[in-house]
Amino acid sequence: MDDKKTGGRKVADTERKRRGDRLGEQLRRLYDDVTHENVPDDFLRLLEEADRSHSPDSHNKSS
Amino acid sequence: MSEPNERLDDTAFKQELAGLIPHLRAFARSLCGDATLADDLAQDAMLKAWHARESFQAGTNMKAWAFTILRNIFYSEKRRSWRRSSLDPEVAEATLVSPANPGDGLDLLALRNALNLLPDDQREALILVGAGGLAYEEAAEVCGCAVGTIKSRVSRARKAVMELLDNNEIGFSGDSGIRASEAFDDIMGQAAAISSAHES
Repeated sequence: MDDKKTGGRKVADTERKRRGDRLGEQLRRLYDDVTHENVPDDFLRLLEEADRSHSPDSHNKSS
Repeated sequence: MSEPNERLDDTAFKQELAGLIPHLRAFARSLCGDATLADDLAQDAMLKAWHARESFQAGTNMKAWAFTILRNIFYSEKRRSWRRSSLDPEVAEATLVSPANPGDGLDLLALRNALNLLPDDQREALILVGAGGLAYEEAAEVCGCAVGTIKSRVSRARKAVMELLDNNEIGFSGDSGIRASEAFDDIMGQAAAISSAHES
């Protein structure tokens, strides 16, 4: 009886770990589905514009 | 010796920030669901990060820093209400089912639905740590709470999601072409759930 019980618990632990691992993997997939998309052009364009409008060598604000 | 606020030069900052755009988009998507609104949020966060670059300390984690900015915009501008529009299952399905592996779409849809049922604080903790790859300490910084709080949110979120996926049969184990090994796993999973229920 005892043997059976520990065996069952071991299976349960393994199962729990397997499901936990799977959840982690799928969470990353959900997230990486977005990170692997091509970044829309808008982003880099806006960043460049922000950079240019704030010209690095003009310390005075009277542009 | 060490400067109180060591700065990256603008070029290095811009390069690193540009590299984080995919992560800003992914985190924003997890907060507001809808892809278009999420990109608006991610763009705002990127620009705000750029303008705040003097407050970024070189050598610290820029991802955590930028996520903090994004999250603050999200909560301060009441963009939380955007989330409601994300619960449209057809939209969720359309964005999730990738043509490359249509079967996986169902699993991910089930997961997305389960995540949507979590309290906001648990969902974001699970995403930041479980998907975004932040350390507990970094996630705590992003969310403005204690490390222990993040740990317990992540653990409660994991538990809740697993239970939701167990109780909700919508496709987590796939409906068609179920393999014998999977069926066996499912049975063992139920057995495990029953035995752990007895233990407690």
